[in-house]
Amino acid sequence: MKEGTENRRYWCTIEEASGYNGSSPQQGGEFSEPLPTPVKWQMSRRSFLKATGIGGLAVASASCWKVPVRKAIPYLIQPEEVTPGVPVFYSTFYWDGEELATLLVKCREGRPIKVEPHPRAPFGSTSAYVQASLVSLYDASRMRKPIINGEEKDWAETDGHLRQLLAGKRSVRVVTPTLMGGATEALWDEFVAGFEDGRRLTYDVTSASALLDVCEKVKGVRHLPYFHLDRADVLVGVEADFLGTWLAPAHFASLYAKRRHPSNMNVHYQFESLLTLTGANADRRIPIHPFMAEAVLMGLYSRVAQRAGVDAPPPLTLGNSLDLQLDEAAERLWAARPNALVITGLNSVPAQLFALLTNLLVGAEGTTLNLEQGLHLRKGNDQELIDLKRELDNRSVDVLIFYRVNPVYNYVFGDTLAESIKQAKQKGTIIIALTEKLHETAALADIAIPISNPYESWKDAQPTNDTYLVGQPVVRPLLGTRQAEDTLLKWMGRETTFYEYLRAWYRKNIAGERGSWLEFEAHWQKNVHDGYRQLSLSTQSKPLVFTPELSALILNSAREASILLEKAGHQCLVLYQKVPIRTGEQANNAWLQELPDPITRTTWGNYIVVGNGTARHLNIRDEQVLELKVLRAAGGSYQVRLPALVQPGVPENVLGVAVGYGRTGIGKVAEAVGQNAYPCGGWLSFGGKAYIDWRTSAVEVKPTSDKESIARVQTHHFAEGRPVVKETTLEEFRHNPWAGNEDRRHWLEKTKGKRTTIYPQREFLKHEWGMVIDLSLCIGCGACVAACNNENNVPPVGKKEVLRRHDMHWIRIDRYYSGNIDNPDVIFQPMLCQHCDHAPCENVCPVAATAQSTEGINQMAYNRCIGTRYCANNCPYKVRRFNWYDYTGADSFPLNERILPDGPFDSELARLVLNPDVVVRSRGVMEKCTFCIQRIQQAKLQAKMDNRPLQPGEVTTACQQACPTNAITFGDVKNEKETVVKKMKDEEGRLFFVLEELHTLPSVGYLVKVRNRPAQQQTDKQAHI
Amino acid sequence: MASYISLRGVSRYVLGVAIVLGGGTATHSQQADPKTIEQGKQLFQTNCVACHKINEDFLGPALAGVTERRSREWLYAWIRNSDSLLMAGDPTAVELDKKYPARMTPFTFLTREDIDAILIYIEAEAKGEVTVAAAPPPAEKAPPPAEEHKETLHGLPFRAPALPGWVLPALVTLYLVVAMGLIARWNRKVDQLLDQEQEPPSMPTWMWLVTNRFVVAGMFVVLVVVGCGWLYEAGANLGHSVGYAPKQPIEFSHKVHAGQLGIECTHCHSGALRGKHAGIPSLRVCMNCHQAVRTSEVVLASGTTGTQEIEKLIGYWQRGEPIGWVRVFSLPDHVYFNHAQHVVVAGIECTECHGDVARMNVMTKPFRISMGFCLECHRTRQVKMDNMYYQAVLSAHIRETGGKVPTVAQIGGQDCQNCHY
Repeated sequence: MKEGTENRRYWCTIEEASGYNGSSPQQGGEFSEPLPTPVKWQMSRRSFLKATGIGGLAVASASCWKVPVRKAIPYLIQPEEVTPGVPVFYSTFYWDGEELATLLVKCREGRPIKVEPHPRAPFGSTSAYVQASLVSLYDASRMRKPIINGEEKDWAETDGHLRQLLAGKRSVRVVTPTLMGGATEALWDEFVAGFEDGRRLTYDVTSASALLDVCEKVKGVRHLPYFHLDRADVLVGVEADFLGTWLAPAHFASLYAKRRHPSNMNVHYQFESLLTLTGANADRRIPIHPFMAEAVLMGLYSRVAQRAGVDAPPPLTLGNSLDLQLDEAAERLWAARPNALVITGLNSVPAQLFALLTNLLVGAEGTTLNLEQGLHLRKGNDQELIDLKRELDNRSVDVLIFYRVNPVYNYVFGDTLAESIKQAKQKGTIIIALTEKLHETAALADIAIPISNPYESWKDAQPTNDTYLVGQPVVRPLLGTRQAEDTLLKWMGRETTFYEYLRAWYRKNIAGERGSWLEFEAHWQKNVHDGYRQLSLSTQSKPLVFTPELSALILNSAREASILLEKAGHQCLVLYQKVPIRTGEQANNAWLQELPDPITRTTWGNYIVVGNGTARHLNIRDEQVLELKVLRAAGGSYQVRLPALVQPGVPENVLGVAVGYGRTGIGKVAEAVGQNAYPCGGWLSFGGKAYIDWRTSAVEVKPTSDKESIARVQTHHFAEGRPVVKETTLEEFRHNPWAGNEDRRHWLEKTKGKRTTIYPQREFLKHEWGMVIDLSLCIGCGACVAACNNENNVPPVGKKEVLRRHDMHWIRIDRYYSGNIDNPDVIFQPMLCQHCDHAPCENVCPVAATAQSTEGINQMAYNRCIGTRYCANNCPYKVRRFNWYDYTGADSFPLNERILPDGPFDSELARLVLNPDVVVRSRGVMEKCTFCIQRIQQAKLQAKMDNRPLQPGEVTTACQQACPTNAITFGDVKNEKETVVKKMKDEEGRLFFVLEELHTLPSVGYLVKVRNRPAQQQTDKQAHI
Repeated sequence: MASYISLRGVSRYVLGVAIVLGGGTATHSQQADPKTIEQGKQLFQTNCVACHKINEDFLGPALAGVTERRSREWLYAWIRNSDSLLMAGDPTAVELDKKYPARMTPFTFLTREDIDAILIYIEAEAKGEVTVAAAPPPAEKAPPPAEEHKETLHGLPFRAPALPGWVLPALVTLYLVVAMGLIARWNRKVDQLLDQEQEPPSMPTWMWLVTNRFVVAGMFVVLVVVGCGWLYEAGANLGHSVGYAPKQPIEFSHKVHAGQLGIECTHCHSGALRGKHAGIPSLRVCMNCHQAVRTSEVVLASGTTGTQEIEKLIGYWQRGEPIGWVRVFSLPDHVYFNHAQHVVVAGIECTECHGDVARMNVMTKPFRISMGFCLECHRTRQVKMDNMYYQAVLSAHIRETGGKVPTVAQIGGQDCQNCHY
C-alpha cells in the first residue's frame, strides 16, 4: 500500500470515519439550527404601508444623532519615548511558574497591546498560553486592595500591621512557585532567613520532582537537563507532551521544528496513552496503557544496555507488537548515537531513571542532553508539601505564606490541605496569601495581599546556567497593586524597592563589583534593553558510574515498573493539560477558553476523554454524561460528572480528564466552566518519598442518561472528502519530490502551467502578498490563533455561541485524521482566508464590500458590508466570520450586545488590550483574515519614511511571527529575494493550493506533509496494532 | 526603560530634511546664495522662530548682528548645547542666562552646516536681502476638471456629477409637472369629445387642479422627489460638521502663533512627522515659550486678550491639569489615517486638509472631509517618485508605460483596505 494522499481518506470525527454523510443527528446536521421554512405571510396594503413608514422613520431617527463632542487631552509632560500613535517595544519575559518566554511587548501610549516573541533571546518562542496572556493583565477580577480578616485595608496600615505581626515569629513557611531569578530567590531567602525557623518551599503544579531527584542521584546535580531536540536524529517520547504542555513547549517546538523539514528530518517515536499534540506529530505513535510507561522505558533501557554491553534487568514482556516496536526504537536509538534522545514527562522515578540512563548510554550527554547547561524551569520537591501538611497538623507553623501558588485548587490533595489550613488557622497559625486574585487558597487566608501581574513587575530569571534574563515592567501597576518583592522589602523594614535590590544584586553577581558607576549603568541598560545576557558555563557534573547505590536504584525501579505494569490491564484515569488552558492559572482568560484544543478541537470546558474501544465496550456515546468516581489514596473518594468525548487513538481502559477547570473566585469567565479534576490525581511513593502522579487506577465509571453538549469547532464545516490536505513519507519523497502531490503535477503538465479562465488575468503593480504554510512544520499548537485574536481584536463569543457555530477566529487549525481508527494519523492544517485572486466571495457581494486590492489581498470593507452572508456561503474554505451579535460593544444599540462577561471587550479596563490600529467590528458585519494589512501598511510607511525599498521579510503577519516552528512564511511574491518565493520555487514538488481545481487562485500555498516513515513495511505493521 | 524606538527618529528626520535641503555642501566661506538662505530660513522657522526674532528681543535676544557679536565656535557650542557652556561657566553664557528668563533648548541634531545656513539667513534677513515671498493664497479646493473623474469604480465607468445636487430633481419635477398637465388637458379633451351631448359640470377652472387625480398624484411625486433630494443632501452632510468651531478651554489663536509668529505647524504638532496622530502638544511644549511670554495685547474673537488666555494656560500648568481641548477634526473609527504618510512621504501641505489655519483666530473645520474629499486627491495626485520605495516598486512599470507617473489611486490609493481595516 502506498502512503500518498491518493489512497488516504481523511475524516474529522468518528461518525465521518464510519461513513458520515453530513446529516448525523450526533453532529447536529449540516446546519446548526433548523432552517426557517418559508412562511405564508399575508399583510394588507395598509399594514404594509404602516410598517414601511414606521421602519423608515425609525431608520431616519436612529441615524440622526447629535455629533458627540470629542475631547483630545494631551499629556501634561509627554514622556520622551512616547509619541501618540507610534508603538514602542520593550523587551521583557513572561514567567508565571508554568511557562517561560522572552518577549518584545508592543506598547501604545503606555499600554501593552501585543506580546511578540523575542527575535534574538533564548526562549524567544511563544505558545498560545503566552500570546493570550495580556488579557490576564487587564483582568478586572484581580485584587486591588489588601484584605485583612475580610476587611479591605490601605497599604500603609497593612504594612504596619504585617511588620508588627511578623516580628518575633519563630516558624515561618513560604510556599512559592519555582523562582528562577538570582535576585528574586536571594530576596525570598533573605526574608525567610530573618526568622528563627524560616523555610521556603517550592511547589510546582506540573512537577518535575522525580527528574530532579534522578539527576541528583545519577549525576550529582539537582536541576533538569537541557534537551537539545534539534540535535536528535532519533527522538523517543514516552508519555511526554513536550510540544504541547511539558516544561517549555514553545521552546521545545522551535528546536523540534529544526529537524522536521524533509531535508534534515529526525524520526520521532511516541509511546503514549492519550492522544497528545506531541503524539499527533510523531512519525510513529504507539498507544500504550499509562501504567505501561515505566515498563516501556525499562524495555528501552535494557535493550540499549544490552547493545552497550552493560548489565541491566531483563525487559518485561509487553506483548508481541509492542515488543517489536521497542526493538525497533532501541535499535534506531543505538544506531543514531550520540544523536538520540529519550524523553518522558512522567513524574515517576523509575520512568525518569530509565530515560536518563538510556540517554547516557547512547552518549547523548553533551549532544542532545546537556546537564551543564541545565534547565531551571522546575525546582519543586513534592515531598515538601506533604511535610508542610504534617507540620500544619502538628501546629508547629506560626506563619504560612503562599506566594503566587494556589495548592488548595491545583494540588492533588488540595482539599485535605485546605482542611489542615482551616484547622491550623483556628489554632493560631496565620495564613497570608500574596496573590493576584482572591482564588481558592487566598479565600482561606487571614490576610490576602494583592500583587502585580508579571507585566507590571521587575523580575529576573536564569532558565539555564548560561542565560540570565532581566524583565522590565511594561506598564505601571494598573490597579494600585504592588509587586510581591516590594511588599516583602517593606515588611522586612527595608527602605528600598525591588528595582534597586535587583540592580544591586546584578552589580554584585553579574556585572561584577569593579568598574565605575557609568560602566555598570551601561552594562545594566544594555541588559534591560536586550532582555537577556549570555553567561559562561562553570558547573561540572560527574560522569556516569554504576555505583552500588545506582545499581540498587535500578533494581528497585525495575521492581516498581513490574508492579505498575500489573495495573495496566485495569481501567485507568489520566489527568492531562489542555494546550490552551494548561494548569488553569489563566482560566479567566476568554481568549484561551475559546481557543480550541488542537486534538479534540473543543472550547470551553473539560470532559472525559474515552477511547473508541472503551466507548464501544462500555456502550458510551459521545456527549453522554458520565459519573467518574475516584477512590483516593488518602481515603475517601472524589467524583466528577462530565460529558464523554469519544476520541480515536486512545487505547482501551484509558480515560482522560483535563485539569485547569472548575475554578472559583477568579472571575466570570472561569466560573462554571468544567469541573476540577486535580483531586483525581494521586501520588507515587518511591524510596520513601512521594511524587505527584496524575494517573490513577482506582476509578469507577457510571454512565448516566444525561447529555451535555461539548463546544467543538471541527464539526462546524465538512471537507466532504475533498483532498484539502496532502502527505507523503520521507522515503517516497526522497525518490520523488512530487510524492503525495502527483495529482497537481499531472494537472500542471496537462495545462502546461497555463490557467484557463474566463476572468481577466490580474496584474499587481507594487506587491503581491502571498503565504506558504509548511504542513511538515505545523504542529497545530494554536499560537497563531491566539496571536491573531490579539492582533486583530477578534472577540470571544462564549460556549453557547460556539455551539451555534458562531465562533469568530480568523485563522483556525483544522485537524484531520486518517488511517486506523484506533490509532489514526493526525494532520494539522492552518486555514485562513486564502486571498484568492478569483475570489468566489467577491462575485456574490451585492454591495462590493469585498474586493481584490491592487496588492493581491482580498479586502473586506466592514463599513460597507450589509450582512447578506452570501460571501460566507460562497467561500469554499469557510473562513469568513459573521458578527451575529454585537460581541465587541461597537454597535449603536446596546440591545444587540452579547459581550462575554469578563472577556477582553467587557470593561474599559479589559478593552485596553485591543489593537487601536484595527477597527472593532459591530453586529451584522462579515469579517475575516486581512493578511494583517495594518502591519503591511506600517512596514511600507516605514520604508517610505526611511526613503528606502521595502526589504524582504520586513512584513510579518501576527500568525507567522507567533509560530514557534516557523511553519508560516509570508512575503511579497513579486520580490525574488523573499523567502516565500524561494520556498515556492525550491519546494515546488511539495507546493499545493487547497481546492486548486476550483480555480480560485489562492495566495496561500501549502507544502505537503512528510512523515519520516519507511513507507511500506511500517504501514503494514501499524495496521496490526 | 530602554526602548527600541526613541527620539532618534525625529532628529534623523530633521537631519534628513536639513541634508536634502542643503545638499550638504554649505560651508563657512560660502556666499549668501539664495539656496543657502532658503535652507537657513527653513531651519530658522522650524527651530528658532518660537523664541527668536531677527530685529527685536523676544524670548531670546534679537539675532541681527549675532555673527559679529560672537565667535563662530562659541555659536556652534551655544546653539548645540547651551547647558554645557553654562556648566563650564562661560561668562557670555552666564550673562545671557541672567538676562533672559528662558534657557535655550539644546539643538544637538543641528550640524555645523545647518548652523552656518541659519546664520547666513539671519545676516541676509537683517540686511533686508531676503525677498519676502507672497503669502500663499488661501487654500480653496478648486474643483478639478471634469475629465479627471474618468476613473473606474469596480470596473464600471464612474462619473461624478458636475451639476449642483438640486438640479436633477428639479428637472425631473418640472418634466413631471408638464407631463401631468398635458395628460390632464388631453384627458379633458377626450372627455369632452365623448360626452359632447352632456353639459360640462360648472365649476371654477382652478378646481380641476384639486380634483384631478393626475395633478394630485403629480404634486405628490414632486413632494417626494424634492423631499428625497433634500434628505440626501442633508444626510450627506450629516456628521461632517463643516464650519464646526467649538469653544475651546483656552482661546488659542492659530492666527497669532502660526500666522503672525510664523511658527511651523510641526513645531507643536510634531507627531505628524512620526506617525498616525499629529497630536496636540503637551502642556510642557506650550510652557517652553510661555514660561517667559506672559503678556499679549492681541484681542481675540470673544473679546478677551492674549494675556488673559495665557493666564488660563499658566493656571493649568500650576494645577498640573491637562487641558481638555475639543477635537475639531475627527475621522470615524473605521477610517485609518496616517499623518506621516501624507506629510512626510507625500509632502502635502497641512493647509490642504486643515484650511488656512494661519488666518484662523478660532480653529474652524473648513471642508467636508468625506471619503470623496480623500479620493478626489488620491485620483489626481501623482506619486512622489523621488522616494526610493516608490522607485523600487514602480520604476519598471513607468518605463513600460512610457514614463507616465501614476496617480495615487492607480497604485492602490483607492483600495478599500488602504484606509479601512
